[in-house]
Amino acid sequence: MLRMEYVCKRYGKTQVIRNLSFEVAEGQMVGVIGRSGAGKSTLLRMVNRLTDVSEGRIDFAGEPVSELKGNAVRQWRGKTAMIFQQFNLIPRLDVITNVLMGRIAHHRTLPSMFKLFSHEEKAQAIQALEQLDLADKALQRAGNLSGGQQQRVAIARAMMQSPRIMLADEPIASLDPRSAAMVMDALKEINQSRGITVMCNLHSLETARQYCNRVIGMLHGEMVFDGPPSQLDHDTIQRIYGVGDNEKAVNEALTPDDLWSEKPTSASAVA
Amino acid sequence: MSSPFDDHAGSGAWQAYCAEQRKAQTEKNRAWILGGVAFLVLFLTSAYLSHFSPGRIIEGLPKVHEYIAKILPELGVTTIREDMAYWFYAFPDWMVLLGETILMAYVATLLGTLGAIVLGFVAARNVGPNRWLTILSRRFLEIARTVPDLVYALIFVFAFGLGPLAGILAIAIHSMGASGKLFSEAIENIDLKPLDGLKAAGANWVQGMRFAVFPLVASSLVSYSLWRFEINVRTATVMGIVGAGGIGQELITAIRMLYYEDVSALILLIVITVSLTDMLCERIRHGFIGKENLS
Repeated sequence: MLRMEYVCKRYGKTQVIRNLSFEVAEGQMVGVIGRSGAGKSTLLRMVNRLTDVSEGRIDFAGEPVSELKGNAVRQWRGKTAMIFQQFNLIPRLDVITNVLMGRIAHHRTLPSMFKLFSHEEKAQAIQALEQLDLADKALQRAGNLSGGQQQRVAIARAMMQSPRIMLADEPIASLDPRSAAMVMDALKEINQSRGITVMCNLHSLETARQYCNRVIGMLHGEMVFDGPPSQLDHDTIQRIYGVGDNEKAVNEALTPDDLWSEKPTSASAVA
Repeated sequence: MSSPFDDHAGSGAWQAYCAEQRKAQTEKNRAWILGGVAFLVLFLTSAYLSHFSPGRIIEGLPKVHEYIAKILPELGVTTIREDMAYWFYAFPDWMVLLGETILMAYVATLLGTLGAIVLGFVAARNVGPNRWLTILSRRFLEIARTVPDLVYALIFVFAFGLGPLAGILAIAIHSMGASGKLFSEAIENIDLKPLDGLKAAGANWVQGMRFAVFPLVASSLVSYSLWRFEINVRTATVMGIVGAGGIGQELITAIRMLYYEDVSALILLIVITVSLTDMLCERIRHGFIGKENLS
């Protein structure tokens, strides 16, 4: 179980997350919705420890996630898979190497420099790619694939981590509808057949309704809704998106933005 | 006289645009004029301070001609073979020295590039492991490249004695500084999203550099290093002037002892060697453009 307790996050004087507390039971598929800058990305990045909390605490099955340091942070990231809006693959490397990067936390620095992955790991990578219909692309450069294919490679990489929780930050915001459906189906499948908890930031309300059994609505860094999508009424939607009609919410859903509003800080590259 | 702009005089937005545009143009003209004046003043001042004057050039030119005439050998059409043999009387020795020069450049480029790669990652502001290490390595690279290589060579000749070792070290340190800056700049221009993805999977700093940064800059690194090798061959030819090995030793001796014909023979050999390396490196570099999956 993932538990957030009174979590706050400030960037300088800007408060991005205010007093966030909630729990996610194992095996849930949670959709996080909200406008740009509502704090959705920051929320996921804090769970993965790509960003530190300013106050409060996060723990997962008794492990004090927000207090981990050094190597323990990397081990935690190793079992917390993350999917990004822009896929964040290494475009110049081939697909299978990208997938094998999911095992990087389990390798010591020196052997990993020479890509010394075991036979089993490679077989596992091919299997993951096969489940996502990409086994035939294994030796192609990741940068040459389409957006939807790249996102599925990213999911394969995430699966290689044997994650306990999967965080997806706007996974379909830069994809066409067909690819978006394939990616969301893959996430749903992972959630249902393997019981892995999935937390997914979504711009589009429709997607959240269709795929998630629980929705968290964020506004200005605060949680303004938590419940099954069926309970999302017109007033709540209006509050979350700050406008009266769904049309604007849908327009909002088409603009990639969180990527720019939350550039990783350069100085703290890898802890 | 009416300008074509007047046709649309009725539109407020159009008039506002025209006014804006005129203002921007005036600004631009002013910037050009100011820049031009500043440039001219700087040029005239420095010409005056460095005693650079057309009169002196015209006066000195015949002397250059005189020197060139002195160093050129006498070649006869019928005796060309003997004359050439006489001109290049020490050809085998010189070739050995040229070989030494190229090897110096090669070893120095290798050492310098290794240092530059390691420090380039640390010195890149966007991915450096730690702010202080980044600042430290940037300053270190600056010192390494701002001190001229001949000065390093003098110091190393003093420390390690005459010979190529001093030259190699001098060139290596200077190349490390120059290439390290270029490498870190190449790294600062990359897209950080792959690195973010790798960090999210639990990679440490070295692993992140190896897999999410190195592949993106590998082809630039190769290209820069080959270019650096070209430069280093040129530098290695003059290292001998301070006794740091290579063909330069022979050249400076010939100049000082007034062995005029030796000077021209050596310069010719150096020019040919440098041109050949440049051509070869350029070919290899061009081969690398487009072949980007080096890692």
